Amino acid sequence: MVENHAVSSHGEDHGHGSIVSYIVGFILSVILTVGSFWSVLGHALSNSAVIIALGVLAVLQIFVQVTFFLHVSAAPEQRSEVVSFLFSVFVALVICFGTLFVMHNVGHLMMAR
Amino acid sequence: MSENSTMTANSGHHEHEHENHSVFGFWLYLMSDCVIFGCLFASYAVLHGQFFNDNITFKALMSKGVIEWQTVAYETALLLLSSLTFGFAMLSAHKGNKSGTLLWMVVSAVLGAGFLGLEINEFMHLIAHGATPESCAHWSAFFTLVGTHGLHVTLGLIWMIVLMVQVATKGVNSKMMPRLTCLSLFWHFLDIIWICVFSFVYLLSMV
Repeated sequence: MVENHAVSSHGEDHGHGSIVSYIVGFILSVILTVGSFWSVLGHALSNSAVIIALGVLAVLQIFVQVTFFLHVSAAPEQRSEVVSFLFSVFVALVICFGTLFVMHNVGHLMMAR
Repeated sequence: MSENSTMTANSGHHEHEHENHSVFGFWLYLMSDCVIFGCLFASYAVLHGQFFNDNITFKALMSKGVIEWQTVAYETALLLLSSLTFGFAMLSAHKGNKSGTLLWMVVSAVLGAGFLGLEINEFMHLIAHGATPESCAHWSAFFTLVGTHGLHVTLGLIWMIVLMVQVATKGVNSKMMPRLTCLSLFWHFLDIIWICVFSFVYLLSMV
Protein backbone atom coordinates (compact mmCIF):
# COMPACT_ATOMS: atom_id res chain seq x y z
CA MET A 1 0.00 0.00 0.00
CA VAL A 2 2.86 2.35 0.80
CA GLU A 3 4.37 1.32 -2.52
CA ASN A 4 1.14 2.09 -4.36
CA HIS A 5 0.99 5.46 -2.76
CA ALA A 6 4.57 6.15 -3.78
CA VAL A 7 3.76 5.22 -7.39
CA SER A 8 0.76 7.53 -7.47
CA SER A 9 2.64 10.43 -5.91
CA HIS A 10 5.41 9.94 -8.48
CA GLY A 11 2.75 10.38 -11.14
CA GLU A 12 1.56 13.53 -9.38
CA ASP A 13 4.85 15.26 -10.01
CA HIS A 14 4.19 15.74 -13.71
CA GLY A 15 0.44 15.12 -13.92
CA HIS A 16 -0.86 17.70 -11.50
CA GLY A 17 0.51 20.21 -9.07
CA SER A 18 0.10 20.77 -5.37
CA ILE A 19 -1.87 23.31 -3.36
CA VAL A 20 1.28 25.43 -3.18
CA SER A 21 1.85 25.39 -6.95
CA TYR A 22 -1.78 26.34 -7.65
CA ILE A 23 -1.68 29.20 -5.15
CA VAL A 24 1.68 30.45 -6.44
CA GLY A 25 0.31 30.36 -10.01
CA PHE A 26 -2.84 32.18 -8.91
CA ILE A 27 -0.90 34.92 -7.07
CA LEU A 28 1.42 35.44 -10.05
CA SER A 29 -1.63 35.66 -12.34
CA VAL A 30 -3.26 38.25 -10.08
CA ILE A 31 -0.08 40.34 -10.00
CA LEU A 32 0.25 40.22 -13.81
CA THR A 33 -3.47 40.99 -14.31
CA VAL A 34 -3.28 43.98 -11.97
CA GLY A 35 -0.18 45.08 -13.90
CA SER A 36 -2.10 44.92 -17.20
CA PHE A 37 -5.03 46.93 -15.84
CA TRP A 38 -2.71 49.44 -14.15
CA SER A 39 -0.69 49.98 -17.35
CA VAL A 40 -3.87 51.22 -19.06
CA LEU A 41 -5.78 52.84 -16.19
CA GLY A 42 -2.82 54.34 -14.35
CA HIS A 43 -2.14 56.78 -17.23
CA ALA A 44 1.53 56.73 -16.25
CA LEU A 45 2.82 55.29 -19.53
CA SER A 46 2.83 56.55 -23.10
CA ASN A 47 0.51 54.80 -25.56
CA SER A 48 3.26 52.78 -27.23
CA ALA A 49 4.65 51.77 -23.82
CA VAL A 50 1.16 50.59 -22.79
CA ILE A 51 0.87 48.44 -25.92
CA ILE A 52 4.27 46.85 -25.26
CA ALA A 53 3.45 46.36 -21.56
CA LEU A 54 0.13 44.66 -22.38
CA GLY A 55 1.83 42.30 -24.83
CA VAL A 56 4.66 41.40 -22.44
CA LEU A 57 2.32 40.92 -19.45
CA ALA A 58 -0.06 38.74 -21.52
CA VAL A 59 2.80 36.51 -22.72
CA LEU A 60 4.14 36.22 -19.15
CA GLN A 61 0.70 35.36 -17.81
CA ILE A 62 0.12 32.71 -20.50
CA PHE A 63 3.47 31.21 -19.51
CA VAL A 64 2.48 31.26 -15.81
CA GLN A 65 -0.89 29.61 -16.50
CA VAL A 66 0.55 26.94 -18.79
CA THR A 67 3.19 26.11 -16.17
CA PHE A 68 1.14 26.22 -12.96
CA PHE A 69 -2.39 25.29 -14.11
CA LEU A 70 -1.90 23.16 -17.22
CA HIS A 71 1.29 21.63 -15.72
CA VAL A 72 3.19 21.65 -18.98
CA SER A 73 6.88 21.50 -18.17
CA ALA A 74 10.15 20.75 -19.92
CA ALA A 75 10.06 17.16 -18.58
CA PRO A 76 10.98 14.60 -21.28
CA GLU A 77 7.64 12.72 -20.98
CA GLN A 78 5.82 15.94 -21.86
CA ARG A 79 7.75 16.59 -25.02
CA SER A 80 4.73 15.96 -27.29
CA GLU A 81 2.59 18.40 -25.28
CA VAL A 82 5.28 21.09 -25.45
CA VAL A 83 5.96 20.56 -29.16
CA SER A 84 2.25 20.61 -30.10
CA PHE A 85 1.71 23.70 -27.93
CA LEU A 86 4.62 25.60 -29.47
CA PHE A 87 3.49 24.58 -32.96
CA SER A 88 -0.09 25.80 -32.32
CA VAL A 89 1.14 29.09 -30.88
CA PHE A 90 3.38 29.48 -33.94
CA VAL A 91 0.45 28.84 -36.32
CA ALA A 92 -1.77 31.27 -34.38
CA LEU A 93 0.95 33.96 -34.52
CA VAL A 94 1.47 33.40 -38.28
CA ILE A 95 -2.29 33.80 -38.79
CA CYS A 96 -2.47 36.99 -36.69
CA PHE A 97 0.61 38.77 -38.01
CA GLY A 98 0.14 37.46 -41.57
CA THR A 99 -3.46 38.73 -41.65
CA LEU A 100 -2.48 42.11 -40.22
CA PHE A 101 0.44 42.43 -42.67
CA VAL A 102 -1.65 41.53 -45.71
CA MET A 103 -4.61 43.70 -44.72
CA HIS A 104 -2.29 46.61 -43.94
CA ASN A 105 -0.86 46.35 -47.46
CA VAL A 106 -4.34 46.01 -48.93
CA GLY A 107 -5.28 49.22 -47.15
CA HIS A 108 -2.19 51.01 -48.45
CA LEU A 109 -1.99 49.74 -52.00
CA MET A 110 -5.60 49.25 -53.00
CA MET A 111 -7.75 51.55 -50.92
CA ALA A 112 -5.56 54.61 -51.52
CA ARG A 113 -7.11 56.77 -54.17
CA MET B 1 -7.71 6.31 1.39
CA SER B 2 -8.22 2.53 1.04
CA GLU B 3 -10.49 3.22 -1.91
CA ASN B 4 -7.71 5.21 -3.52
CA SER B 5 -5.03 2.56 -3.07
CA THR B 6 -7.23 -0.17 -4.60
CA MET B 7 -7.94 2.20 -7.46
CA THR B 8 -4.22 2.67 -8.04
CA ALA B 9 -3.54 -1.05 -7.74
CA ASN B 10 -6.31 -2.02 -10.17
CA SER B 11 -5.63 0.66 -12.74
CA GLY B 12 -2.20 -0.77 -13.59
CA HIS B 13 0.15 0.16 -16.38
CA HIS B 14 -2.20 -0.43 -19.33
CA GLU B 15 -4.98 1.72 -17.85
CA HIS B 16 -2.50 4.51 -17.18
CA GLU B 17 -1.30 4.42 -20.79
CA HIS B 18 -4.89 4.56 -22.01
CA GLU B 19 -5.59 7.55 -19.78
CA ASN B 20 -2.52 9.36 -21.08
CA HIS B 21 -3.62 8.74 -24.68
CA SER B 22 -7.12 10.14 -24.19
CA VAL B 23 -5.81 13.15 -22.29
CA PHE B 24 -3.22 13.81 -25.02
CA GLY B 25 -5.96 13.49 -27.66
CA PHE B 26 -7.94 16.11 -25.81
CA TRP B 27 -4.82 18.26 -25.56
CA LEU B 28 -4.57 18.17 -29.38
CA TYR B 29 -8.22 19.29 -29.62
CA LEU B 30 -7.33 22.24 -27.37
CA MET B 31 -4.45 23.11 -29.66
CA SER B 32 -6.84 23.22 -32.65
CA ASP B 33 -9.08 25.45 -30.52
CA CYS B 34 -6.05 27.68 -29.94
CA VAL B 35 -5.67 28.06 -33.73
CA ILE B 36 -9.40 28.86 -34.07
CA PHE B 37 -9.05 31.64 -31.50
CA GLY B 38 -5.92 32.81 -33.36
CA CYS B 39 -8.10 33.28 -36.48
CA LEU B 40 -10.80 35.11 -34.49
CA PHE B 41 -8.20 37.41 -32.91
CA ALA B 42 -6.71 38.09 -36.35
CA SER B 43 -10.09 39.06 -37.83
CA TYR B 44 -10.87 41.19 -34.78
CA ALA B 45 -7.52 42.97 -35.12
CA VAL B 46 -8.21 43.74 -38.79
CA LEU B 47 -11.81 44.87 -38.30
CA HIS B 48 -11.10 46.76 -35.06
CA GLY B 49 -12.05 50.39 -35.57
CA GLN B 50 -13.82 49.83 -38.89
CA PHE B 51 -16.94 51.73 -37.91
CA PHE B 52 -20.00 52.73 -39.81
CA ASN B 53 -21.36 54.78 -36.95
CA ASP B 54 -19.17 57.01 -34.77
CA ASN B 55 -21.60 56.91 -31.85
CA ILE B 56 -21.02 53.24 -31.16
CA THR B 57 -17.23 53.06 -31.11
CA PHE B 58 -15.60 51.29 -28.18
CA LYS B 59 -14.44 54.59 -26.66
CA ALA B 60 -17.80 56.30 -27.14
CA LEU B 61 -19.51 53.43 -25.33
CA MET B 62 -16.87 53.64 -22.58
CA SER B 63 -17.44 57.34 -22.02
CA LYS B 64 -21.19 56.65 -21.83
CA GLY B 65 -20.48 54.00 -19.19
CA VAL B 66 -21.88 51.14 -21.28
CA ILE B 67 -18.49 49.39 -21.17
CA GLU B 68 -16.76 49.65 -17.81
CA TRP B 69 -13.31 48.42 -16.94
CA GLN B 70 -14.68 47.26 -13.58
CA THR B 71 -16.89 44.68 -15.33
CA VAL B 72 -13.86 43.28 -17.16
CA ALA B 73 -11.91 43.21 -13.89
CA TYR B 74 -14.73 41.31 -12.09
CA GLU B 75 -15.03 38.87 -15.00
CA THR B 76 -11.28 38.26 -14.91
CA ALA B 77 -11.32 37.77 -11.13
CA LEU B 78 -14.19 35.26 -11.34
CA LEU B 79 -12.50 33.25 -14.10
CA LEU B 80 -9.10 33.24 -12.35
CA LEU B 81 -10.65 32.16 -9.04
CA SER B 82 -12.68 29.49 -10.82
CA SER B 83 -9.49 28.12 -12.37
CA LEU B 84 -7.87 27.98 -8.92
CA THR B 85 -10.86 26.24 -7.30
CA PHE B 86 -11.03 23.71 -10.13
CA GLY B 87 -7.36 23.02 -9.44
CA PHE B 88 -8.35 22.26 -5.83
CA ALA B 89 -11.11 19.95 -7.13
CA MET B 90 -8.48 18.04 -9.13
CA LEU B 91 -6.21 17.76 -6.08
CA SER B 92 -9.13 16.34 -4.07
CA ALA B 93 -9.98 13.93 -6.91
CA HIS B 94 -6.40 12.65 -7.05
CA LYS B 95 -6.61 11.97 -3.30
CA GLY B 96 -9.84 10.02 -3.89
CA ASN B 97 -11.77 12.59 -1.82
CA LYS B 98 -15.26 12.53 -3.36
CA SER B 99 -16.94 15.20 -1.21
CA GLY B 100 -13.97 17.57 -1.57
CA THR B 101 -14.01 17.12 -5.35
CA LEU B 102 -17.74 17.85 -5.50
CA LEU B 103 -17.48 20.86 -3.20
CA TRP B 104 -14.70 22.51 -5.25
CA MET B 105 -16.48 21.67 -8.51
CA VAL B 106 -19.64 23.38 -7.24
CA VAL B 107 -17.58 26.45 -6.25
CA SER B 108 -15.90 26.51 -9.69
CA ALA B 109 -19.23 26.16 -11.49
CA VAL B 110 -20.78 29.00 -9.45
CA LEU B 111 -17.80 31.28 -10.21
CA GLY B 112 -17.96 30.31 -13.90
CA ALA B 113 -21.70 31.01 -13.97
CA GLY B 114 -21.00 34.40 -12.36
CA PHE B 115 -18.58 35.19 -15.18
CA LEU B 116 -21.16 34.18 -17.76
CA GLY B 117 -23.86 36.27 -16.05
CA LEU B 118 -21.64 39.38 -16.15
CA GLU B 119 -20.78 38.74 -19.81
CA ILE B 120 -24.41 38.25 -20.88
CA ASN B 121 -25.38 41.39 -18.94
CA GLU B 122 -22.65 43.34 -20.76
CA PHE B 123 -23.76 41.99 -24.15
CA MET B 124 -27.35 43.06 -23.41
CA HIS B 125 -26.12 46.56 -22.53
CA LEU B 126 -24.08 46.78 -25.72
CA ILE B 127 -27.00 45.64 -27.85
CA ALA B 128 -29.34 48.09 -26.09
CA HIS B 129 -26.97 50.91 -27.05
CA GLY B 130 -26.82 49.96 -30.72
CA ALA B 131 -23.62 47.89 -30.66
CA THR B 132 -25.20 44.77 -32.17
CA PRO B 133 -23.40 42.06 -34.16
CA GLU B 134 -25.07 43.47 -37.30
CA SER B 135 -24.26 47.14 -36.63
CA CYS B 136 -20.75 47.14 -38.12
CA ALA B 137 -17.72 44.98 -38.87
CA HIS B 138 -16.02 45.81 -35.57
CA TRP B 139 -18.93 44.62 -33.45
CA SER B 140 -19.42 41.53 -35.64
CA ALA B 141 -15.81 40.57 -34.94
CA PHE B 142 -16.17 41.49 -31.25
CA PHE B 143 -19.27 39.36 -30.69
CA THR B 144 -17.81 36.46 -32.68
CA LEU B 145 -14.57 36.45 -30.67
CA VAL B 146 -15.88 37.20 -27.17
CA GLY B 147 -19.08 35.22 -27.84
CA THR B 148 -17.10 32.14 -28.92
CA HIS B 149 -15.18 32.31 -25.65
CA GLY B 150 -18.47 32.71 -23.76
CA LEU B 151 -19.89 29.72 -25.62
CA HIS B 152 -16.86 27.68 -24.56
CA VAL B 153 -17.47 28.70 -20.94
CA THR B 154 -21.13 27.68 -21.29
CA LEU B 155 -20.19 24.27 -22.68
CA GLY B 156 -17.56 23.91 -19.93
CA LEU B 157 -20.25 24.59 -17.32
CA ILE B 158 -22.60 21.98 -18.83
CA TRP B 159 -19.72 19.50 -18.93
CA MET B 160 -18.88 20.33 -15.31
CA ILE B 161 -22.48 19.73 -14.19
CA VAL B 162 -22.51 16.35 -16.01
CA LEU B 163 -19.27 15.34 -14.30
CA MET B 164 -20.56 16.54 -10.91
CA VAL B 165 -23.53 14.19 -11.31
CA GLN B 166 -21.17 11.36 -12.30
CA VAL B 167 -18.83 12.03 -9.37
CA ALA B 168 -21.81 12.20 -6.99
CA THR B 169 -23.23 8.87 -8.19
CA LYS B 170 -20.10 6.89 -9.11
CA GLY B 171 -17.39 8.52 -7.00
CA VAL B 172 -13.87 9.38 -8.19
CA ASN B 173 -12.67 6.11 -9.73
CA SER B 174 -10.08 5.38 -12.39
CA LYS B 175 -12.67 5.92 -15.16
CA MET B 176 -13.52 9.38 -13.86
CA MET B 177 -9.94 10.68 -13.68
CA PRO B 178 -9.32 11.12 -17.44
CA ARG B 179 -12.70 12.90 -17.77
CA LEU B 180 -11.90 15.26 -14.91
CA THR B 181 -8.38 15.83 -16.26
CA CYS B 182 -9.75 16.74 -19.72
CA LEU B 183 -12.26 19.16 -18.20
CA SER B 184 -9.52 20.75 -16.07
CA LEU B 185 -7.39 21.28 -19.20
CA PHE B 186 -10.40 22.83 -20.96
CA TRP B 187 -11.26 25.08 -18.00
CA HIS B 188 -7.68 26.35 -17.50
CA PHE B 189 -7.35 26.83 -21.27
CA LEU B 190 -10.39 29.17 -21.29
CA ASP B 191 -8.57 31.27 -18.72
CA ILE B 192 -5.63 31.62 -21.11
CA ILE B 193 -7.93 32.73 -23.94
CA TRP B 194 -9.54 35.24 -21.57
CA ILE B 195 -6.10 36.75 -20.80
CA CYS B 196 -5.79 37.54 -24.52
CA VAL B 197 -9.38 38.85 -24.64
CA PHE B 198 -9.05 41.29 -21.75
CA SER B 199 -5.56 42.41 -22.85
CA PHE B 200 -6.05 42.76 -26.60
CA VAL B 201 -9.79 43.43 -26.90
CA TYR B 202 -10.73 45.46 -23.83
CA LEU B 203 -7.57 47.07 -22.44
CA LEU B 204 -5.98 47.79 -25.82
CA SER B 205 -9.19 49.56 -26.97
CA MET B 206 -9.03 51.79 -23.89
CA VAL B 207 -5.54 53.07 -24.72
